[in-house]
Amino acid sequence: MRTRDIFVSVVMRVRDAEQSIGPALERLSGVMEAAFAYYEILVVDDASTDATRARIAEVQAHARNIQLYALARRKGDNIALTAGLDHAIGDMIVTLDPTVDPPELIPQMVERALQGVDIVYALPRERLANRGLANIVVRGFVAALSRLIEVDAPQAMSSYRLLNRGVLNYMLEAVDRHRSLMFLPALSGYPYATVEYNRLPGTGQNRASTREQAAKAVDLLFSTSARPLRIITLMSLGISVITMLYALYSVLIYVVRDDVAAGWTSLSLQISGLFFLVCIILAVMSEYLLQVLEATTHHPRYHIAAQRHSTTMDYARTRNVIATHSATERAIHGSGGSASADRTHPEAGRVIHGFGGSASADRTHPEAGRAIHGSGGSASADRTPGSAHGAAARQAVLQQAIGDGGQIERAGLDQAKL
Amino acid sequence: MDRPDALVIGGGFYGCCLAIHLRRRFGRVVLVDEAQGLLSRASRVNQARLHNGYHYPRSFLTAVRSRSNLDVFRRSFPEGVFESFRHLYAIARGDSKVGYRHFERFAAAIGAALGPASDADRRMFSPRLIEAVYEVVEPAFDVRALRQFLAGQLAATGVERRMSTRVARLGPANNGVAVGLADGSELVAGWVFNCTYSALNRVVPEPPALRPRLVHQLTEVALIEPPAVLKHMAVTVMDGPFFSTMPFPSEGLHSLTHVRYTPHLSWPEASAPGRDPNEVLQPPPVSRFAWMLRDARRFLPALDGAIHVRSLFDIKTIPDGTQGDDARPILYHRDSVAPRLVSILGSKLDNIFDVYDYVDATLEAS
Repeated sequence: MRTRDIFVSVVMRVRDAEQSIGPALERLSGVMEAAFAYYEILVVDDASTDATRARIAEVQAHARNIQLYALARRKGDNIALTAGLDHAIGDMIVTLDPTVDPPELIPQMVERALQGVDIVYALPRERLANRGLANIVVRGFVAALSRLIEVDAPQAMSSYRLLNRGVLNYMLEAVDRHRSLMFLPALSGYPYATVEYNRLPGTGQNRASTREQAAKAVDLLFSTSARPLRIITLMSLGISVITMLYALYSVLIYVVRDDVAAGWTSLSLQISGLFFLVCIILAVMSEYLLQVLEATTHHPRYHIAAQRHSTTMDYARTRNVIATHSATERAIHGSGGSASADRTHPEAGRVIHGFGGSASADRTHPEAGRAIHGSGGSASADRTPGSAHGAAARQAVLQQAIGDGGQIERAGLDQAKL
Repeated sequence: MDRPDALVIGGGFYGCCLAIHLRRRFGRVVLVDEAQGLLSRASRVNQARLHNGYHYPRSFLTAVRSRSNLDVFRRSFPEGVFESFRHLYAIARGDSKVGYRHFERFAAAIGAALGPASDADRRMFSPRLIEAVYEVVEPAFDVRALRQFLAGQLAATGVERRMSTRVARLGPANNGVAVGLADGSELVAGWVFNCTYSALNRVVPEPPALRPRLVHQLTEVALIEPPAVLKHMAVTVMDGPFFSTMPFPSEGLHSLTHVRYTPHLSWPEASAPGRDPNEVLQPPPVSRFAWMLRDARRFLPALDGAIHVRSLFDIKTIPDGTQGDDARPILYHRDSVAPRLVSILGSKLDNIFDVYDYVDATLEAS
């Protein structure tokens, strides 16, 4: 598909950016108009108090496909951007900050996505070079969080990124998507690519304050990971063990020492007993809370990126005959087995049709190259024990596959041994 | 000098019906239209929906009138009513101006039945974006059948038809209206009814400041071949920037219209004085089908696979000030310079009956 025919949605959030939004929208509109036949620009106004909306309306009077969503109340970066994403209709969706992200990068990102990735992160060179404290902090946070929740995300990522419709659909399933917006694409597990760019000299408008950034970080941490709650469980259990030990200790002291102050033992037992109970309750409750969280936030448990079924259907080769002479049967079935061995697939390099149902040429691993396709159908050749032709052909196929460094499914090997 | 009793300008649905209605009262009624055929413009380029009230939860009067008019329409034009499909109304979650409770109460109040949708119907919609689905009775009209029927009625009642005839001038005359046609002929009609919709103010003698204030929109109705599941089905998503797809009987296709993308352009007539709104139809506008489909299939994934056959473009004209609401009143305006010239801006085919009373009252008063 030509880049020009891709429907691209550009989603952005603005707030009190009356000076920069007009020129930024003009520039973006110019880029989109030149590069794409179908596009839309969604601007979510986070309840600006200045003339931002009026500036946008001025651009709308002559530029096509600009859609303004004005929030009634200021809700912050993430919710505003989520509102935009909820309404996007494109096949590919780009989010950006119009005041610092140059729109000229969009066609390049779309081009990159068309080569078979679902997410394209635009990495600001300033951040890659660790220039400035803010960039260092953000990068460090991204690195730490990706390690904690075990996802693969580029450390220098910004909010400038491209998502395929599939990734967006994954994100829309999460009820609390506004909290984990930054990491949801990474959590989806779709393959990504990166491009680098230089930020525009920002005007300082439209940026979130440090306090907001910190709040976003906390949101992100607690929405993407249940680790903190698990830590609470473990701590509670640890403390309950310690209180038990303390109770034993106080009983022991009572037994072995004569100079115990009156009331110390009973008070110690009372305190340790109560803390033991409280900690156990906390531990149990935090585990239940975990489950409740999982159920209510609707983070999809899994997301199927692509489905693919075996590409061969050889049932027609099986004759619907029960032969009483095994020699006859061999003659008929034996010759059918090798027919599909050399069929090649136009996309996945050489594809070998074996059996056992291994559809490994998944869209998510375009680099997988050679893949072995399973087929239940052609297996009929080998159901006859002495099928000389079939077995030989199979052997040749396997040899070739091994020689080429391709991976062979276990099931295929087992079958071949028969 | 030719002196017909009444002249109707505009061979759309309103003009034809009015001419037939007037023929009961007058000996000679003439219908002129600049086009070759009847019902060729706005009467054809629309959703072909026969409103049964459901569409107007925010305009009670419009809803109630639609309902009673539908019955009259069924009786008056039985051939023009197309009902062999099921119509689903879906209420969008979040962005809708009505919630499903509001909608249910509203339907009960206007006495319109809301049937529960089947599970299979419901599964066609995205549960994330749609909160309720109902089955309703809301037919479509077949503009081709209406055209045939009206042509027959015009002939049977003896209305004179002058097609491909453009009215160039209108002016006051003694006991009537002086009419100058583009071919140079002059006539004086006892009454002139101007049913020219988007061209309503084109040749009226009134000074611009006194004319009805109109807003024109360039609109697109996409004609599609729907996926098999929607073949005998209509879907209307309420109530806000959503879409509708329903049978377009005259072409054997479905229409796809979208509140956000169907109007391509909108301008108050006063902002471009003297300009013919039809100018925006040339060159043919670029279709917004890609936008309509992509938004619509978020709500109705079953629509995926719809094939765009072609689009119909035309001018939609509404009275200024009604852009924000659903109420589509008929505009009835007597010219201040030529008082026997009445301009009527229709809104929907099915409320033609509302206008007869006004016409009768006007004629009887003088």
